[in-house]
Amino acid sequence: MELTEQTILYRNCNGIKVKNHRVRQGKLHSLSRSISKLRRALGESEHELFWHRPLRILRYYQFNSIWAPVPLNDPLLIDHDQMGVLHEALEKVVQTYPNQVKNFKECCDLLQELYYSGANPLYNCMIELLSSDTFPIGSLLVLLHKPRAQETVSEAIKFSISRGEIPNIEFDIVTAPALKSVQAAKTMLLFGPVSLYEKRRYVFSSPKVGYFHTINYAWFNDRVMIENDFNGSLGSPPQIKDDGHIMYGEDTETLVTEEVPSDPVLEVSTERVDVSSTEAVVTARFFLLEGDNAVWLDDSENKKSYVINPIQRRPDSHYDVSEYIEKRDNDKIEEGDYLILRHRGTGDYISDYANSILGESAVRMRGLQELWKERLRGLVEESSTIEVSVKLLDLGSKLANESNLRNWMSSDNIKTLYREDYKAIMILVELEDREEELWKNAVKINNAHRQAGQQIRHELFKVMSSLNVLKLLKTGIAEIHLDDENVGSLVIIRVVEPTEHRQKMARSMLPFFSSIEI
Amino acid sequence: MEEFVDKLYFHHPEESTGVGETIPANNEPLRSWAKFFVSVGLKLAEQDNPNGTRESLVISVPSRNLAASLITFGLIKGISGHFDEAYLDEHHKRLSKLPIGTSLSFRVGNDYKPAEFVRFDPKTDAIIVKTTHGSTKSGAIERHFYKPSCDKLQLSDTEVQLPIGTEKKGKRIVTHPNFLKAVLEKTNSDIYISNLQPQTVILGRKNLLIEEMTNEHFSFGSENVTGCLDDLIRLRSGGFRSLNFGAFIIPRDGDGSKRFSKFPALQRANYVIFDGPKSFLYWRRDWLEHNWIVLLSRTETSFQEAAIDINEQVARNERSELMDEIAGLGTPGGIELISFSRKLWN
Repeated sequence: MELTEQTILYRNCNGIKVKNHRVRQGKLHSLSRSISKLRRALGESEHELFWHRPLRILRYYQFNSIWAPVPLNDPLLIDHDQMGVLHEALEKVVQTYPNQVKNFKECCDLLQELYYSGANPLYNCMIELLSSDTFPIGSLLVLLHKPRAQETVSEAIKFSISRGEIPNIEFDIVTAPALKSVQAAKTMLLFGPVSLYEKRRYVFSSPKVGYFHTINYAWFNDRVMIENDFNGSLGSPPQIKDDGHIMYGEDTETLVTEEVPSDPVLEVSTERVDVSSTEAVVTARFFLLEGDNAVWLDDSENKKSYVINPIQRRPDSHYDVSEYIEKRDNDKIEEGDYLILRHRGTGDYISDYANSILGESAVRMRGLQELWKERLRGLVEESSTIEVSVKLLDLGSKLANESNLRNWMSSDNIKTLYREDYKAIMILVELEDREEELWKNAVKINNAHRQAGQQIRHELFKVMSSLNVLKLLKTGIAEIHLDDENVGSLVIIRVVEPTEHRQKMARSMLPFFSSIEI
Repeated sequence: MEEFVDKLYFHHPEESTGVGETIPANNEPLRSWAKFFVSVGLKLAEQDNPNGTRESLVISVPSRNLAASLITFGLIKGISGHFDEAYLDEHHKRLSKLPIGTSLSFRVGNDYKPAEFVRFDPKTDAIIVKTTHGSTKSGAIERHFYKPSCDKLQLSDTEVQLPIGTEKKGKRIVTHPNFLKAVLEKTNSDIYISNLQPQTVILGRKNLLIEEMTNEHFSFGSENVTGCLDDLIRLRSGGFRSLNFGAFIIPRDGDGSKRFSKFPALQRANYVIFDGPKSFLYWRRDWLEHNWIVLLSRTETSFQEAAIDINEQVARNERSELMDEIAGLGTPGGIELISFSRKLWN
């Protein structure tokens, strides 16, 4: 950050002004209430298969319409196919859930009306504000909750400028994580309930602008508040100067304060992923990613993933690469980190890269590994982990215990640390005569993995040098290609929320990266 | 204290506009936020620990940029005044008693070169060292160091290899010696460099800190000399190859603290700076014997978690007066601070 930027930041901290713009929209408010009513009426039935998709479509619309200043029939909120799903469900609901016909139909009808009207009052409010002489805007940051609406909003503002509806202003459309990198501006427009930024308080406590306009529906009557960081401290975080509020739209609704709906994409993690009974199973943790994507990562101890720390300038020879491209423990991955994952895929790309290094012998060598692991698993199935551990100890093993044994059986564990443990296993699985050959095989695979890690790091460093970092910071996602056909495309993607949802999954599937289907 | 920060300027080197014009180099007075951080360092250099306690100062900031670097700069400037002429007497006495063959290094201009102790001459009070082994054609080169300049001679951390014929070309040790002389004011820069010991260990982002300490330019006083924070700080990271340094950076927010905290050189450092909530949350238990400066940037994800932890620590320990003294420096907007005294057995 340049010194001037830093000085602006501290100057803003002397006091930020906030003006609240509150929009009334009767139909959208009714839809929101109808969805809540339907869910209350359904109770536990909400989780039944019939309601799965229709409810998710409704809730997705409900959640995204409160912060996205895009037309109310924009595909970001709902597309044609999803409308079809709702109509289909409406036809079936008469037979399946006759008690819910009224509630569900009310939701569908309201949504249909909003879909046909299209106009978004949040957007109209923004245009009114930008065209007004009352508020000198200067350089502008438009803050959105998610990056998916960036392009639509940017195009719309440019269109309004070209038509002379609003003056020609310098603007940038960002999400909260990008605020750490973008240049300071004079004004910020912030859409949706302020509570959406609860976990990203730096929007206000490290203010990139001196003047905030919050644009929100009237029924989410929340305000910007900054509390002291410590009890009994001296000094203070930035002070807020409330610059009043303005209401828009017809005064037809009763002003009530509603609870902000939760993001339905977060609940995808509660859906079970099928695991074959023959697979090695581990606990995986669900991470919500940018662009409504998600990944399940192995939650076992010492499991690591590649994380990059994007920087705007090209790293020079003094740069510590391990700080730029890190291999970080999965339990230390945080919101805002950038993960490197296989594009829309499953499984660890390092072992595939290692296979490229091993060349044609990879299949045979992996097969030799499975030979003793299969036999070991078989023995455990016949008895138990404790019994097999005891037998291994009797055969000279140094580290045999239930936990280590589970690791040795796993396909992603290559070899034991001590040769004594390996020897004991070989005797137990009756491969003693091939011990030397199998140990050498495991060492070769292990070396290939180590080499793969180094080469991937090197290649990532090369790729990162040509990446548009500012774009990555704004969108939170970028596709990259490493020079290895076994690995394929990779994606750098920002973590939105490391959730506390965990479930058992096949180890071979992890990391499991996919987009969340609505 | 005020006088020193008032004499320090941000220096903007000459810049090309890209259309055939240049913006001439200029100096900009430090802004209140930057003055505050340097003053915090100067103030902390004056602190003593009451028996059995360690001090913890926690500062929440809107951005971590330059905070740790400027505090370190102030802290090291604060202690630099302690190096005086009395040191020379003691140093000379210590050198005169060294065993023959002790590995040394000596400074020539802005470089340091290897040497080996030969003997002490009581008649002239000279410390005699050899700087080459010498070949069959020529003997070893010997140098004589007397008390006024004996600070140029220092014990080497590692065993030295003397060259055979001519003296080895030395390494450059200060990038901007005139800037160093200027910021040291009354302290002799040779004595300073010879005696500097690690004052702070910084657990942070190495790349960012190196850039701040070596690429940002400053000027001092009316002498129009420019340099960087590292001229005074003399940072190290990764290893302890050279002799004297003021700050040691542990990269990746302090990853590796377990190992580094056992190094005697770092155990002697007076302060540990946790430059970010992650470093504090993950590694503080490895640095319980040190005084803490905790810098929490509100832009970081784990800020909230660290703030909760700090509140718990304050409740468990005794709130100290340090925060009142620091607040007396004039806290800029957006900065919040708290301090507490930790009992060493806590």
